[in-house]
Amino acid sequence: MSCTELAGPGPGSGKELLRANGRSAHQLRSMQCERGPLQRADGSARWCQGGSVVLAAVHGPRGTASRKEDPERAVVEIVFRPRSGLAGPAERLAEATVRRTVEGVLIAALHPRTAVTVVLQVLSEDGGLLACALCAASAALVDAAVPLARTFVAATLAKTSEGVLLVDPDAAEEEAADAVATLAFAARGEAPGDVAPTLADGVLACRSAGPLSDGDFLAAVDLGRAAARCVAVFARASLEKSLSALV
Amino acid sequence: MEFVSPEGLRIDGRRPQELRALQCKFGVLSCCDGSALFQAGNTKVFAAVYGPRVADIRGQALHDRALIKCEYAHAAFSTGAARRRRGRSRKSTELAALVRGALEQTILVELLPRAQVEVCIQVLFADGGVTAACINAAMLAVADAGIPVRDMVAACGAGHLEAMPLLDLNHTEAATGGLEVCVALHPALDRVVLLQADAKASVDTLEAVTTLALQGCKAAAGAMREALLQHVRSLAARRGAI
Amino acid sequence: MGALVQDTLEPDAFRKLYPDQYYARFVAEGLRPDGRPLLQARPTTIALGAVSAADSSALVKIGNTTVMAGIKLEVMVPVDERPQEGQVAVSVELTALCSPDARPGRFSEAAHCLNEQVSTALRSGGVVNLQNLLIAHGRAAWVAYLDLYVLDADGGLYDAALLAALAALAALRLPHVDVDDEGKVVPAGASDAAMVLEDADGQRLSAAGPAGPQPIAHLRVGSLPTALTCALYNGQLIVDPDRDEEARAHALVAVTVDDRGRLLGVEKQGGRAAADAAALQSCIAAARVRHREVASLLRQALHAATVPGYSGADS
Repeated sequence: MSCTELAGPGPGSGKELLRANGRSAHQLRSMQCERGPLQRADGSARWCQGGSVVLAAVHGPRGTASRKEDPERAVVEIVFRPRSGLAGPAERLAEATVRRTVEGVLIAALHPRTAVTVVLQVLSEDGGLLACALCAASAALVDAAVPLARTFVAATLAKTSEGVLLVDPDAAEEEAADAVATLAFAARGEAPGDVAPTLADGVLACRSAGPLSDGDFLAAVDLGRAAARCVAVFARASLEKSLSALV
Repeated sequence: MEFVSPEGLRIDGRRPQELRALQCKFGVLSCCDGSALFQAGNTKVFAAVYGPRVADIRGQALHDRALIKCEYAHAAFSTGAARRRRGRSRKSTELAALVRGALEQTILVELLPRAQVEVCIQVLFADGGVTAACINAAMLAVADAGIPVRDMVAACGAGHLEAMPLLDLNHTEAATGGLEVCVALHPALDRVVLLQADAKASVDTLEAVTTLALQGCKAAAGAMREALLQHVRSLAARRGAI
Repeated sequence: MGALVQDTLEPDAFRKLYPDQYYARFVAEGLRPDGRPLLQARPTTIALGAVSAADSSALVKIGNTTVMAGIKLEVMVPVDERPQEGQVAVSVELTALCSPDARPGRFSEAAHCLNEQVSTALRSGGVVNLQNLLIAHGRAAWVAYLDLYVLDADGGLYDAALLAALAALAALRLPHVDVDDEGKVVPAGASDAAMVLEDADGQRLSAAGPAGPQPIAHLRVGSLPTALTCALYNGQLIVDPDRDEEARAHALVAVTVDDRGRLLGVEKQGGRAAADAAALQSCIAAARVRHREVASLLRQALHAATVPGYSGADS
């Protein structure tokens, strides 16, 4: 089952400026989320964010090697595979970021002495990869019905040399940018029947690289939250669609 | 190249039978059971001891004595030569085996059956006498960890250059490829634990060099013992025992 | 006597049996088990030139955490796409000494992460102008192998590793060399046909110019980025946590700032607690305060090592 959803124009206005790829500064790329593309994993999802595609598979909670297990909680293992070649330092750092983010939302005490393994395979790469991987992991964990306190979504921002903040940059924009920031937010637990998901105030995960002023950074956090909210709306819609297909 | 000047001084200003300045520090690392830094001139070696504790791999545990493990590594910039690639080489495996052998003779392994003692050695600066420095650093770390030993083990090297036995060769002297021996000794038991020589030499030369190295061992043992006593005294003072 | 033993053992037993409560009680009082206030970093030392076999070296200690940085220079042919640039190759190793978990052999995730974090900070801070590593356009350039060894891992590894890397780079001296007619790199003055080479920053790296032979040139660093790791614990901000505190923290935020007041990186790798704007702002403010301390230590160390351009006084 695959479902295609296009997020509407991004948050805020920012329409006056058109980027090389035709988007406005605050506009997200089109997103797609396919839930359960893999048969043998306990849960899986394919997340497309424009040209970036990440396939996530979740295995577990299941038994693990005794030296890894924790007697009080489930441990999280992340395997981040680049599109080609071997995982290097950048991939290992992405693994650590995704692992700590998942650890922050997983109700780990329910399954002591087990491991939840998330395998993230990059299928194609066009900017905003960490955010795409985080979204894919979140969707796959939901698909695997692993107990989570919250789900999470992520967005990428880039600051151009002219000082403009761009939402969801592609690879060319990331390359040209002064600074790039990826921000992940937890979606707040809502009452059943709520239409729009809301995000928690605090940043769940954040990774910025490149020179920024304090003001720029805080503006990026705010803009990132607004962009992530769009992503959360899409994730919610895609989940409802896949659930309604099951009924 | 002249290694001993007419005045009887070596290139670093030492006399032929003079050790380099030794420095021993204890408890230099926080997360292990015992640690030490041993310096002989420029040569600088860290050692850390984990254990005695349950063997990591149960199948390796010995039912009648402790298992001694040894890991050796050197910094990529530790020698003056071009940067060497990291990772294990035959040289580092050999060094680890030598240190392990010396420690197995020294630690009272039969008091710790089924246990494991792991010694990790990191060389930061290799300026000759690395084997001896590794053994000495490991010994000091074992002592810092409070592991029972038969006797202190102290090691020292000596070489033969320009028809003269020289104590404690530095890197330049050792690089000539002449005879160099490394001896490890239990000074109180007066027992040689390790004797390694890696070049052809006449029996007389070997004997002269070995005798000199043994004297060096005794001197090194004295310095290490003094440092250890001082460390124990300062610990006792801190605990208020004295 | 028995009562005395009881009294002295009690806090220790409490710490071992209820480590979380033990720590929470301290933090509630605005103190930490090692006696520091919540916003105080551990004592820091920078020793330059600890290993003279390296072209530049620095030993940094933050509390117990110890990181050794060493740089070896080698000559390479610049890659075709960047004929005017040398390279800085960072590698990080968690030695077997540094913690009971670290084992030699395969790179651990922590070593890889540190490598990426330090490289990113050096790159985004513009610390090394790679053109300063050029010897001859398209023919020869320096590659600086920057090896970081974590000797003791007691928390704040990134802060210590970045500081060690920065100190070693700032103290790095480039030998004065020329390229002879056959394309070999020779010490300056050895070849009569000395070539005058252009350099973007006007630094005399290679040319035996009218100023006469220059034995060495210092690699000038473009900025001084420093990092501070903060722990979020029960809504409190705890600066420079050690290993135990890191394990107990609800989330960790590492902030990198430089001497021009720029924010080079904010990193929060998930965690149980979220950081709102106020918490992030206080982390940034703490990193700025820490930067002043560390930068002045670094300047003093560089001044003591007679690196030109560092007066020793806080500038």
